[in-house]
Amino acid sequence: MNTTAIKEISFEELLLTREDVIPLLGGESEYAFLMHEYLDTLFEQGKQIFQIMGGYLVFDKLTFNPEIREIVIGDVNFDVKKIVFNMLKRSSKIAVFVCTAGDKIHELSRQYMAEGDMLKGYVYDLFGSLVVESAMDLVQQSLRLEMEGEGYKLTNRYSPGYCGWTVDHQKKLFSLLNQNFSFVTLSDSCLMQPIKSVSGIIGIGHDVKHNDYTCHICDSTNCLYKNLKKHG
Amino acid sequence: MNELLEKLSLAVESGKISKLSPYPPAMKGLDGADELCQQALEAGIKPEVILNDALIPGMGRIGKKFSDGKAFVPEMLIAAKAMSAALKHIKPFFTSGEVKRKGVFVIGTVMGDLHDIGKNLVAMMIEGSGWEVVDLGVDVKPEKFLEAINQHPDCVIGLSALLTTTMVNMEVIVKQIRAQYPDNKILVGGAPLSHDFCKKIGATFYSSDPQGAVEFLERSVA
Repeated sequence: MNTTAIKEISFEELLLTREDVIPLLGGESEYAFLMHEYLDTLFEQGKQIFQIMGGYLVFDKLTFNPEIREIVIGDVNFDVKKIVFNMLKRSSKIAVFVCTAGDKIHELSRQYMAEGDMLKGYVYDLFGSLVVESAMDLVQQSLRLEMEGEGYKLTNRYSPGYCGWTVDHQKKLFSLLNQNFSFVTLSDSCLMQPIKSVSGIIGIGHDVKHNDYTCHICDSTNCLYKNLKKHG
Repeated sequence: MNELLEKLSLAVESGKISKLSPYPPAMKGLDGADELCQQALEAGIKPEVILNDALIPGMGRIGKKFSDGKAFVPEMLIAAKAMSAALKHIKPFFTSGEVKRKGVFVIGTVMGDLHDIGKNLVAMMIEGSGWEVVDLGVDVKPEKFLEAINQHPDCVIGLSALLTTTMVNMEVIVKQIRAQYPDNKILVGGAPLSHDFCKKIGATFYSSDPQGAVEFLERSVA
């Protein structure tokens, strides 16, 4: 049976602080004080700016085809390439997840960039990424607590577009989700709407492992946390 | 060089936007790019001299620091804003034809990819170096590039991608452009790219940073 869990997450629940953001913006440099003003606004208005939703659907009907590094979830096959296949091949279940920070943060970022304030647009864009990743950490934590009760462990989370897994597999991934996940949709070219959203899969099993540091196996060039902290 | 132009160039490089701007702290209370550009025009300095002797070198120096890992994205963005503050005084001369644009640069982030900060930075720096920039935005399909080239037949095209999985879409776009416009120069950029990839897909030039893109365009009109 597939388990579904969806939750609304408040901005306050994320417990974000400046210490979470400043390192991502280059640390306490000479120009950091310029960004504090933007961060003040973001922390003050976070509750109004962010509409955070996240959830997962757990599948236990799985097939692994090592010759072609293919994972079949339900009836949908994914050519996930070497890194993702190796991390998930011992899974007994796989959770497909989606999480979003909502539309408004991206709209504000775009607006500031269009007005010529690229630094403000950049800070807002990065903060939106931090919010959605932090929210997904909470969703993943809920999954972990649920699965630990059954004696399972989780892998890291993996997304189409990263680790060699092609971004057009988003369509297949979203075909696995039901209408309860309609808070995130896909464009023709597989981009998620709202833009500040994440989707992907997490392996669940007795013999899977979570790596705190995965930068050495990942080819991502734009990861928020690249070389900075532990990964979800 | 004229003292005013030197100050303007330094203001752009340092990201001193206007007199009221608090950054950089060492230049607090001093005129910024906005006021200095206005003063240069009032002093009778030709707009193209301001562009070539102050704005382009100022942005070039911060661009070089960025290329060398001595400056970071926020500093580039602050400098770009200072350049924009100066450029707003020069733009009317482009419109009137008193200062000629060096050409048209059409830029977009390729289909499937929505990352635009790098693309915006390149667009801003290229505009600041005297080009007309047509920014097609993000998630741009081949047809949209073809339409823009049709409107600006002599343009240089810039393609941006930030994901290893979307940079392959560049090949599709380059092929379609080459089929109809074999002679247009195509510049590609984005973190996962390389010279080899650029060569493989049939693009003209790869730049690993915005300053390289500006320098390529300068060479292309020389």
